[in-house]
Amino acid sequence: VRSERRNEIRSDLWEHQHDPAMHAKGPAGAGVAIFGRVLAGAPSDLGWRWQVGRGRLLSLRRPLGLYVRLALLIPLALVVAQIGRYAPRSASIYWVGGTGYAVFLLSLLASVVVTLVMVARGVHRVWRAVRRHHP
Amino acid sequence: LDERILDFALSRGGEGGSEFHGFALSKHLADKEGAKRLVGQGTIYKALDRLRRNGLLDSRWEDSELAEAEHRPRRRLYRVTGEAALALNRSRAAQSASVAPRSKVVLP
Repeated sequence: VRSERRNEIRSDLWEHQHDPAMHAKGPAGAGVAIFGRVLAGAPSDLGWRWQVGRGRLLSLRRPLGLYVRLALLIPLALVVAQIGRYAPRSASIYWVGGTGYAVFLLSLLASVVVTLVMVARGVHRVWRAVRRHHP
Repeated sequence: LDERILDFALSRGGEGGSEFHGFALSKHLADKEGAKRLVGQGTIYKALDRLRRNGLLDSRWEDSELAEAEHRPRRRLYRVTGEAALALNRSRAAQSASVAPRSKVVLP
């Protein structure tokens, strides 16, 4: 779908560039007219790309949800760990703090893993797209 | 914009009439309205895509030989479907129905 749109816009730009009315405007005037037209249509184009890309985003919803949960867990675990840090060592709250600190480290590690997986998926997609266009 | 596109497409002979491409449509709209600038590519192609998805327009890519012979990129050609005229009439009827009560209020 995206490549079809790209080809259509490429054809449109060519037609605009070679339109007799553009010759009358001169190179600078023609450049301004063509650029202005691209700019005027940019919000609609972005809206369309968002609609088309929404299907792809939905496939990312699961790891994204996991990522959000982990991101929320990190400050919570950090707060619990801080409580344990300042609590007297003899108090039972010290163990709560220790557990909080462990959860903090684990969630940090897990979010690093999820981030790496998401980045690897993105790189893989880009690589596949490049291979498709330049086999 | 959708109505203006369908109006232009139907003026070219309706279903089975002559095909048009996006740039020709932009030029026509600007000429008709006396606008200095053509409709933005993003706007026009989003509208064409919407009409195509709703089954009011049909499209095909022109033969590559023809484009190569003229040393230009291939054009995507559009044509109205039978549904287009009905949809345009429905839309206009709905618009006139919504305008009518207002004119009653304004007139003495």
